[in-house]
Amino acid sequence: MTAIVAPTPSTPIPVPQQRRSRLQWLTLPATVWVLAVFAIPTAILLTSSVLTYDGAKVTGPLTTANYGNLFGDSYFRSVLWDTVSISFMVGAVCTAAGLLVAHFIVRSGSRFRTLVLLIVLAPLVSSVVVRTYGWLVLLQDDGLVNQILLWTGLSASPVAFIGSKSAVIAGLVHVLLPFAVFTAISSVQSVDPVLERASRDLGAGPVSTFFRITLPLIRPGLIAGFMLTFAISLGAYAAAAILGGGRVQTLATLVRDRMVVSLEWGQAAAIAVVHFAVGVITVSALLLAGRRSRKGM
Amino acid sequence: MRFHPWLLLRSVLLVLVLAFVAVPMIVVVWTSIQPDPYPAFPPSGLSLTWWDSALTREWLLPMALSAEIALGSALCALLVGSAAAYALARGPARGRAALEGFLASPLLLPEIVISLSVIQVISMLGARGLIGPTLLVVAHALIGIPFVLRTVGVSLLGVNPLWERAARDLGASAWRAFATVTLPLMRSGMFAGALFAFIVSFNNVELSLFLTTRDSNTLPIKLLQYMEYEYSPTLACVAVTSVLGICLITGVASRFVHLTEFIHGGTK
Repeated sequence: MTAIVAPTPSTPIPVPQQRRSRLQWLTLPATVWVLAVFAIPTAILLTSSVLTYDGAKVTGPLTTANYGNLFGDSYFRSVLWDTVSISFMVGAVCTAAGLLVAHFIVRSGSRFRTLVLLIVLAPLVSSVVVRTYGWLVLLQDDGLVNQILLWTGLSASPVAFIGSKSAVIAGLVHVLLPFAVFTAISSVQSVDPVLERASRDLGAGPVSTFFRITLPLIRPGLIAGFMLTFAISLGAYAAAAILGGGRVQTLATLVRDRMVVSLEWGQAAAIAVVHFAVGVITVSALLLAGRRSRKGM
Repeated sequence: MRFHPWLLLRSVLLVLVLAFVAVPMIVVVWTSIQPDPYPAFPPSGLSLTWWDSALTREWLLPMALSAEIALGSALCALLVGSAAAYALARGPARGRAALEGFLASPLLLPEIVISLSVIQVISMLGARGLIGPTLLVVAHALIGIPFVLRTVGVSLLGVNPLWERAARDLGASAWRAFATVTLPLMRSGMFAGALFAFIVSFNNVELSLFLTTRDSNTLPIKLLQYMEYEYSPTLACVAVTSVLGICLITGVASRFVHLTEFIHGGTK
């Protein structure tokens, strides 16, 4: 009976050392899974992007041709630029709108808070494809937005939204806004409300309190949220494929084109690696921003 | 509070953002229950005509396949992920953070890149016969595992290892102590993790992109391929059906566990 002692919070968890190391075997299946389906295949993709391909087959010799052809191609450069600029816009809009919603939910004390949260989270039950379909119905040439524009006389002829960057950006913001709201909620919650009240008591209005007290405090969280939405939209396929209407291409749609349409797997691998690199750079920046925000606390 | 023009501006912006979020969803539902090929403004009436072509084998089969794949991959992720989460919580502290990071790493890279590398390895091995539902189960479980790790990890935080130790001291075997003490307390985390893994798989586009065939198309991929060339209100009915399915599952699940707890616990 002596073993049953109420632990004080500071005591280390008393699990016998021997049992601890035996438990490690339980992580083996998950580790093998991630190695086999993710780590090894992506490592092979990284290395084979510098090998010669013949269609779908890797035939051997080392070459930089896959990358040479890629960066020599002005079309690829413009797609790369489009992808980055679209993702940048998506990140910026999501961060701003996410902060607006999160600040309302955390600080307003309004009775509509739960309703607002519900509306923002509701789209999460549907797939990206379903939401993209909604935008297609709205934005196509005979779509609802154009009908309303014609009906109200705001425009004399239908506007071609589909195939524009703005349509892709709208679709992506719709998909990523819930993530942005989540990250913004936790950063706004981390600000001590006493600081804001002090600022108000000293005579600052709600707007200048927000911009001079709240905003500087949550900046690291906002940067992290921006990076997250930026990184996810870099790899998003559905919105670009449908709302881009074949006229706007991103790295994701380009990879698929090279794979499925023109069967240039070497090109696809090289594009994937560029994609990978842009992703890794943003994720490292994200981690760095996160670390700095923790230090700042 | 005094009236402030900035607060008015904030409310206007907030309403605009909410409309931006809600309108496309409402439009999908509306498209499925009205008669026109292109939903008209102002609305012209109600009709269920498009449902006839939606509730056919063409769409119900991919939906069933997606559900099977989602169920399979959620179960795989649940088994493999819960075991790992338990070991991470109770095992040696050395290397824990690194292992956790490694197991979550698939979420950090674009899924389309993972999809491409998997298909490439398969064609290098000359094993294109593997492409099919089983491969999708294996691939989807990859991104389900981090969700299970998180939710089960969160629920294990509330389980004192001493309780299991006490059961051992009172004569229970290691397995029995785990099964009667810890397992029941892990259950809500396992439930939530499996649900997230199911939804992530059921709705998945990017990871499935290169891993489906004409005969084994998942619902999102089939919808996407259809949309690339044609537009039809039938798709709205299919979409509504799939969303209702997910809502039903989430609704039933939320009677058993507080899902928001895990979303919150996960982000912190």
